[in-house]
Amino acid sequence: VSLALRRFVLVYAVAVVAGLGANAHAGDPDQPLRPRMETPAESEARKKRPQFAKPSELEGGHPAAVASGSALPAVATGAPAAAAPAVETSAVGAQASAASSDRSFAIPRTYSYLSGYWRDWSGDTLLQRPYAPNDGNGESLGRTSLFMRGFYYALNNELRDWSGVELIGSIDVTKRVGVAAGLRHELRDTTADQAVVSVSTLLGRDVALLGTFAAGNGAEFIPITELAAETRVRVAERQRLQYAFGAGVSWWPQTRRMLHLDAAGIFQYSKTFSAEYRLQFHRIDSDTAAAHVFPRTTMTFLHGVDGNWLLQERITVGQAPLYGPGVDLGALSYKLSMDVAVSLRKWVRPTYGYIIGVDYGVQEDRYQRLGFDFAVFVQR
Amino acid sequence: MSAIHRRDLLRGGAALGLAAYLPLRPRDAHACAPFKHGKPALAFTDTADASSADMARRFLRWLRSTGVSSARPVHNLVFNFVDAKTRTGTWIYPMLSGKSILWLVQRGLVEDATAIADTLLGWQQFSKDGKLARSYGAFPSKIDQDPNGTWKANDYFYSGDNLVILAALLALYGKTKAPELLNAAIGIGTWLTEVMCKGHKLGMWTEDHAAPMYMVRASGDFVNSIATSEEMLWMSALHRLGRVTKESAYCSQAERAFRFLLGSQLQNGVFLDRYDPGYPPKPYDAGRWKPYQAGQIVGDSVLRCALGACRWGELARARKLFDWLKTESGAVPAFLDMNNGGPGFPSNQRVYYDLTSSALHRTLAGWLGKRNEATQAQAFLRKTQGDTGGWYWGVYKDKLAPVDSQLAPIVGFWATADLSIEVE
Repeated sequence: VSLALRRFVLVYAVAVVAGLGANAHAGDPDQPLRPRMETPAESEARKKRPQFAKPSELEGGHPAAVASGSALPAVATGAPAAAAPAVETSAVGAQASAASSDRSFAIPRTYSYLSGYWRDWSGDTLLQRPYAPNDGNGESLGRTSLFMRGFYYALNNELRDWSGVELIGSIDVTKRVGVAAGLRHELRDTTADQAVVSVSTLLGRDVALLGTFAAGNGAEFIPITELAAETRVRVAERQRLQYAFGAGVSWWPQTRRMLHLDAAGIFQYSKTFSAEYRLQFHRIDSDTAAAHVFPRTTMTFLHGVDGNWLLQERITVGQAPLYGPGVDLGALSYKLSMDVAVSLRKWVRPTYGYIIGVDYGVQEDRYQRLGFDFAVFVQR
Repeated sequence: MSAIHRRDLLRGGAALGLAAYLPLRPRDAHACAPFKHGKPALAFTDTADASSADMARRFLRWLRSTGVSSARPVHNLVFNFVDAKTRTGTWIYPMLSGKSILWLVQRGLVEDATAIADTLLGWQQFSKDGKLARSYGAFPSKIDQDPNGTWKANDYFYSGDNLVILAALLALYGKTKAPELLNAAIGIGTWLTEVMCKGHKLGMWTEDHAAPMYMVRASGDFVNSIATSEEMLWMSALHRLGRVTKESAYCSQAERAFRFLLGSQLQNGVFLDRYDPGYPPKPYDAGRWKPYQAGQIVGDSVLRCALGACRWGELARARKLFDWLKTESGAVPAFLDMNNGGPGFPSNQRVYYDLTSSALHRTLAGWLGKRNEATQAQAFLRKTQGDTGGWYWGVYKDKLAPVDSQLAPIVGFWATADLSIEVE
């Protein structure tokens, strides 16, 4: 300490002699800056500097975790501005948030509207883009995604297991138009191949139109051709609420043709919960024309952070066409059914990641199934 | 020999896959994935000429002689403003000391940078008493003299300013390997990750927004909004800290924060000023992204956002902003009209240019390979450098007369180098 004290006194004396005041500036501009000479007290303070811990080394949390406080409203403070002192301005132009309604809020779908034969009824599968702060509510730039998915479901009652692969891509071609397309190859009692293209476009601030076209190879459980359209309307005053109505036609093996009409109400609470109640009217035109109306309810919970990990839990309960080979497809027999799925979407990097999921389904007096999904995805 | 069963093969494969995935080696459990830092299409030297070197040399002389303080408690720390007439500095901006370290390290002047860092480290806040615990590890955003002439840290700690200092400490640590630099950097990184980004746990947000709150006071009160400007540009420093310290919490926080901040960009390319969750806080709502004032954007803020996008490889987003912005012979109006990218001043106010924005614009043009625009901006900066080697912070559009008598070191740092590149 005495050495430091003597050194300090010497340097300070030189500084005083040189006439350097409290607010004066450094010396020779052609020489490097000289380190500050510490006072004994500053030397002691340096020695007392703590060893900071990384988050993984914290025991009992950051010191702030035990302190409490309050928040200030998010208003301008006496902040030091680097080089642009605040000036008086007046309000000009439009509010920024007005731009947030430019993008279509309806996500294109690559799954059939004719639920029941399908493993994913809701059309809102784990592969779809989740609702998230930067997604789906209009303010973000376009996003491009590509998924490669494989799945395997085991069925009881001597029904054959389901397995298959899918390639699904989606792109926002303009700020108002999104397109998704899917190719799938699936094995049940017969082998199915199908290609689907779906387009979502914003017609007005709160009205979106979805159009879907699908073509298949004529396997028993998918249509050979399907055309469908749906209009989504966002209730302007409470944008969490939407309603939808749509219609479609499809052509199937065994010379069936089917007409379906849809009506749905959709409620979205923050990003964590959504519920959809959908009524479908089916009319089959075959040897024996039949019609049926059936309801379906889907609830989805979502946790996590978009871009890091998301956990999705989904349950769907309703009536669905009786599944299985040998069923009289023209008779329109419907059964109470339920589907429960849990999936984890994990981003390894901001541009790619993977999804794992398990899915349990049951149809009254027909089958139970249990299976898993695995997918990898890339996105920009 | 028994037959190989498919089930055994599957089990074995699953076990191997699991073993490869799980962090069985403790040292690697917290390691970060590499960060693919982009590079400008044009380096600073590609758009510089012989006079650019002279600009830098004159600025260095000005910085050493006038831009830093010689008052002992803040010896070598950089003033925010220096009066051109009296050659006296006003208050000390620690963030600018960080920027000067970045600039000096880039020029190989490690001795100068070390001298600045040596004083700066003494101002890190490490009291855990009461509400001060909420700024434990942070650097204050202002150091000023009280009426008695004593230099004191002001009572607020900005996230963005600390990200700049973090970048500076890591750059200098890369050259010197001095452990106290890394320790101070960890102090900042943990404060950002565990306090400022944890607004949801502290009751400041309803959900995890991932990006840091704007600032905290010594009293423990937060401003719970999320600013975009410095945060976007310097968030990669937190990622770098994660790579240096093998701490994945820093990296994942930085990545998530950056992704959230990207939500500030509008379709026309503009990055909005901040996200305001309100207080009491409300759930996320895109309408809560706010401009500086209605219809008005600050030039240097929006350019910093675009440069941040470049650093993370989001060049298309940066290009959108670049295409939107209307410069005037290399000059950038201090305030911009959000709707058209032109001057955003009220009709009764004279238009003036922010010189830092010109330097940032030249840097952005370099990233995007816009040689003409970069050269034009550099020519404007050359024209506006003062005889002493410093720059005024702003000049009026008419005759380029200074807005006031204050010189600002920050202009020189950006005018004579590309600070957006990471010095290894």
